[in-house]
Amino acid sequence: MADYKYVGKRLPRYDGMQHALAKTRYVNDLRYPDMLHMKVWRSPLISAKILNIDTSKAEVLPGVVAVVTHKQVPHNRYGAGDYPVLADEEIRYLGQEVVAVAAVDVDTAMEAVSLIQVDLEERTPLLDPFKAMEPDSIQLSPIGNFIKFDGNPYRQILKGDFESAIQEADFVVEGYYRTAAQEHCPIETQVSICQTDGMGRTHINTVTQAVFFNQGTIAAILKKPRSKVHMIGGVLGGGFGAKNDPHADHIAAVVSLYTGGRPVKWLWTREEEFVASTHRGAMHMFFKDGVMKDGRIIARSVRSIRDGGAYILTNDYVVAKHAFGVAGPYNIPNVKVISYGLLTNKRPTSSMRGFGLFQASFAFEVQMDRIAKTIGVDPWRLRFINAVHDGDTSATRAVLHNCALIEVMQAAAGRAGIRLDEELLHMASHSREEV
Amino acid sequence: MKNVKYFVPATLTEALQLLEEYGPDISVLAGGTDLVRDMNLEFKIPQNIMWIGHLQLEYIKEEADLLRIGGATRMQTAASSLAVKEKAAALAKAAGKMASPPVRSLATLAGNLCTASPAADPGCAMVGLRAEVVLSSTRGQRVVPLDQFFLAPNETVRRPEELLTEIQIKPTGEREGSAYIKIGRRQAMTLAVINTTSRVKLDGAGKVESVAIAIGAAAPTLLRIRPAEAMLTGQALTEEAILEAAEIASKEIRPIDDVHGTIWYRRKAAKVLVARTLREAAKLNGGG
Amino acid sequence: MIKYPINFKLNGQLVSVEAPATINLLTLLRDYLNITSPKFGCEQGNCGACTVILDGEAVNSCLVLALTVNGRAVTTVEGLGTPEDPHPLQVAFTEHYGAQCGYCTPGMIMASKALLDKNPHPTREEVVEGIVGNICRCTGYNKIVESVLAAAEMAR
Repeated sequence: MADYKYVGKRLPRYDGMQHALAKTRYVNDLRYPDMLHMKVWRSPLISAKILNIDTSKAEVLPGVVAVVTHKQVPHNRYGAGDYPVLADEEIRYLGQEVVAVAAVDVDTAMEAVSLIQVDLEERTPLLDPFKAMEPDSIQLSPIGNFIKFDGNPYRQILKGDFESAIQEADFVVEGYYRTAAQEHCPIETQVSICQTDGMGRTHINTVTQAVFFNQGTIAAILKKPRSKVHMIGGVLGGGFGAKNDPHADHIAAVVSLYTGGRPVKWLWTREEEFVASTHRGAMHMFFKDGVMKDGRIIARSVRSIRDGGAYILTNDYVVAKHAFGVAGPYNIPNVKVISYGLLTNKRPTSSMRGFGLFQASFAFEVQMDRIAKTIGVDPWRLRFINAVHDGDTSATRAVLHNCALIEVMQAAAGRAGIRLDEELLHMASHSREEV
Repeated sequence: MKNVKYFVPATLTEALQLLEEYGPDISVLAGGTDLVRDMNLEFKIPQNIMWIGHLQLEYIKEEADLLRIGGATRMQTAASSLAVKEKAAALAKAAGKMASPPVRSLATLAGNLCTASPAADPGCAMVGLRAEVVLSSTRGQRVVPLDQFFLAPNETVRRPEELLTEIQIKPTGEREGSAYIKIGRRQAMTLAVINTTSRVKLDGAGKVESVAIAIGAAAPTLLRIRPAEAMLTGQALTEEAILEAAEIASKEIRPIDDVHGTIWYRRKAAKVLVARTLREAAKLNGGG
Repeated sequence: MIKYPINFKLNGQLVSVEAPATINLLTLLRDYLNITSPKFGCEQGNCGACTVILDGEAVNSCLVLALTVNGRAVTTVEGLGTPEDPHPLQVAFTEHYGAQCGYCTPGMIMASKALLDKNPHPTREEVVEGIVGNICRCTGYNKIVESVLAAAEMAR
């Protein structure tokens, strides 16, 4: 075996000592001459119609350089095309941004925000994703509350014939699992420093996890080619999915169009992070499995409902990815998955460590334990019996290769000091014959 | 932008004169863990600030029958003091469990009492220890028993011109002990969902000569549970008696449902914690 | 606007600065003195990213009114070690992967330094107790605790 320089070696983090010396320059550590500070007027109501926005008093406050509403946003829609950069017609969630102010210091910016008058007509909010599914519920968007998948109100995965197969089962095991909304809470909050120069090129010191993705999004908002959007990124104090969608960058970039070339910084408070940044959405999962006496799961149906919050953002991706994986790494011949994403009057939900698969793993694994308990089979054995092997198909009918669930379980049991039956220790992913 | 004035009195007299002059228009800055936080979050920006850091109000004095603790004594000082650990153990424990080490390096006992959170950890310990506080002003001093000090969340009997200069606790003596337990949503750096303190003195025959029980996070202010105390006084401190007292306590409190806990859970937890602190205070630690 | 003088020792050097009564030590260090190691994470004393050492004690600099450090001594990571001569904590955090994104690291290091200054040979329990005021969202804490224990070993 050749002696490699890096492969198989334990290497220090290239930035380890830099972090320990506190030499890492995060966006909030950057200082620019002439830098302005930004604060935003956020809606105190959950759901409302915007009747009027009056920024006149804020505009004349000494020290205020720019006051920006939706009128000044070159193209005021992004995400799935439904999300305003600054709210124009309505408020769909508590804390939604309406007006941005750039001023010489934070105190002046905050005072200016307090002088802004936004007339809102309060509406009854829709907070329950199940209610959102009812036909007579409040409709949050022109195309209703259901997030669409190729025009359908759910993402569907079908394999075999669940309806017939469930009739043949010795046991029917049902389970309802739900995961709560979660906030990533990176220790570094959202922050951005934007400056548009004399050539109309906008420079953005960003904390985004998705530099090129956001470059495209912001270019479209600014109605400029990508070459006019310069992203300076790669250093952030934690993301975990909190910093995929634009939070501070896009609004600060718009504001920077109106500050006469001065850079503008927008640092979110921890409260803003909790109230108004993207979260992992709550998910409700209903399992109905047909199981044989010997432990084989012959039919699985999963109905999932995701609380998507007020705008689509990446919810369709989350729901789809969730649908692909929620039946689990098990060889089940008949699968029916129906996954919904519903709009509600909450902060739009988006990515967090796994895009819908973490919720799925929790649910399908607890369901396995429930099955084991119900039919009286050891929980390890149940998983070995149903584990995928090479050549099996997934729920999406993809043929699987290089499976390793069996080997991973054997290794895990070994390390945990659990003595598995010989039969299970002789199983292997590459063949259904005993090895 | 507010023009805030800042004062650093060098003597207590100077400080009291400032309080007399400005009254409610001056905020007392002790550790700052409440005041500076409120300023950071824009909840409250005072017109005038008076820092009491130079008044030598951090001290722990052991007198024959009184433990006198300066109001500006910080949590970490109280937690590590031998005198407090021995003579007012519940306070040492509570002060050592409050928030986190960097907060405990700043936060003061007087500040904690004046903020008057219904869930205060050191506050709960001091109420259960039957502490009294000395309120000083240009007109002199008055001593107020701590269980009469709190009016409502963030409201106490302290007048704007008064400074809480000292906390007085009768040290636990022979056949006497105190204990404090808190339960939160985490093991550390957590608000109390319920906290309890017990102070128990037994007579030569093993009967309860005196007892004080305090519970926090279960009412708008920290509570003394007098019916449970009355029931135990003069009784032998058996497991039965302990459980009966705990049962009374769990019924006496007036908890609410909030994001930190439910009424149901708080009553259950209060019962368990009261029993545990009674056992520990009387050094009957056979049970859980 | 009324400003007051603050004269204090910062990482061993005497500094003089003027500031209003409303600002906290975190803002004083970061915005007035270009000391950017303590970080803004919550400004409520909940995350510990702003931890510095004041007169030998770890404190949340966001909770210290800047004016109160007049006449006192503040230490930050900038005063701990250099690239040529790093402090044992800095070496340990590097070798034992105590940092991932690095944002909580300055606070962790100062909290750990305060701990080790008082207790040079802490148990694992004591290290954990010493850093409960510092939140890390990346590492899961094990590597941080190992780093601190390793630093204690190094100093032996």
